[in-house]
Amino acid sequence: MSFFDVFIKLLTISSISYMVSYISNEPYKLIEKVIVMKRALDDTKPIYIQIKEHIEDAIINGTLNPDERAPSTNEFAAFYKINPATAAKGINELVAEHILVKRRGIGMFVTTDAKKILIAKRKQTFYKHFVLPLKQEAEKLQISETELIEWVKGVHVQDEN
Amino acid sequence: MYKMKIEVDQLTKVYRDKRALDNVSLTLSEPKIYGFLGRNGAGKTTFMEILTGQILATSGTLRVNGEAPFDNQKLTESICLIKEGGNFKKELTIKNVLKLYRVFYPNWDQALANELIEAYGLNVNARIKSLSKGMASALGIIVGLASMAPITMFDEPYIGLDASARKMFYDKMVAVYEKQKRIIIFSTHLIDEVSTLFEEVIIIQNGSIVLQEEADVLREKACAVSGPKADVTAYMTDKNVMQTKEIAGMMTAYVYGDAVMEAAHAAGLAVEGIPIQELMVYLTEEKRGA
Repeated sequence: MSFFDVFIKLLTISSISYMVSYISNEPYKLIEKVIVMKRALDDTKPIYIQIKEHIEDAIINGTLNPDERAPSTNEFAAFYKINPATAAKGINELVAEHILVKRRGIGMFVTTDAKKILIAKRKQTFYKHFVLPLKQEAEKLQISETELIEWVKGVHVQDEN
Repeated sequence: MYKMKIEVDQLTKVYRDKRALDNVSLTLSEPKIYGFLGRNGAGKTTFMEILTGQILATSGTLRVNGEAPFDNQKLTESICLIKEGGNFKKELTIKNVLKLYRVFYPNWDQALANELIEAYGLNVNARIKSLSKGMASALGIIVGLASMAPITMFDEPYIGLDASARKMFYDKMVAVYEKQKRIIIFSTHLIDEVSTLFEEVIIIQNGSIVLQEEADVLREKACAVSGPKADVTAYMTDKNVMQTKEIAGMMTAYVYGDAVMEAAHAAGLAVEGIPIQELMVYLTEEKRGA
């Protein structure tokens, strides 16, 4: 997938999730907020990591805000038909990273600093996951540095035809 | 949560001309949903029949909480096996079947059975012989789930069930398991449909255990690595390679092991995960005839 595909996809995803977060405030729709990014899980990647990323994305997108309850293990298990233990593993890692906090008897809640922590974490991998592939692909296609910078700035719009 | 421990030591079963199980040793001690996978004739059913106490092993031992299941009713009350077919006597009505199992299984959940009978639209007065394959399978699923047996096994339980009936089964299985954890051993060929349900996967081939591993660990340890042939070949030297494919100077290697993905990234090769179903295919093809 090229950088631009990823970019367009991110745009679409964030606008859809924004719409959904706007429409649904009912508690039973809670899981919808988180899973809006994906309807099905990918069997080629550890499931607990995917659960973790779904919650992270929802927090970064602002569909799941500080002090809001995150879907429970059971809700994830029922929605995706996954093993509850697997869902719990993903959620517990987020607790260890101070993204979620457990409130006894009520559930898991988003911490105040969750978004800040996540953004800092994602920034660290942004170069590796997005900039580096972009540079590599640009090199392969002999796109000059100036051209690339212009594109990033949005100065130059490529004619798709 | 039910605590049961299954300990299998060098279990072997020989039929006249075939070693159905060959020195199988494994331990299942946690209430988990286990995916028990293998090709036809790999020995899955034989294993489950020994575990249920229906047949005896030729040699080796299988113990559940320290006891052998054969001819041990106290123990078999804790074990339920639902097979592909022929689970119930043909002359009985569904009502009779449910009554029998309710008496046999001490933890039987009648409310759950009623709910499922309703959900699958079964007529309790119908005789087993009059049921379609799908309906008979649905009854097997209902009995297996409602038995609440601390060890419940489903051996390809859904012949004739359509996709939505299977989906309902998965939904119910998760819900029931969530409420009361137990050992569920699930053998199926429709791995893609259920692989996310498995917490642990056991792969059996030609009567031997090829692999027993946590499902999410498998997803990390198996991958397809692609790139120019020379680079992939160099990468492969110290790896466990299940299979390779080549086209136009490019090569894909299906590898399994610790940190295989990191190594591929480091070598600048393209990496893709492998679904559990495909992994099973590669693993059991490789071992064939070996």
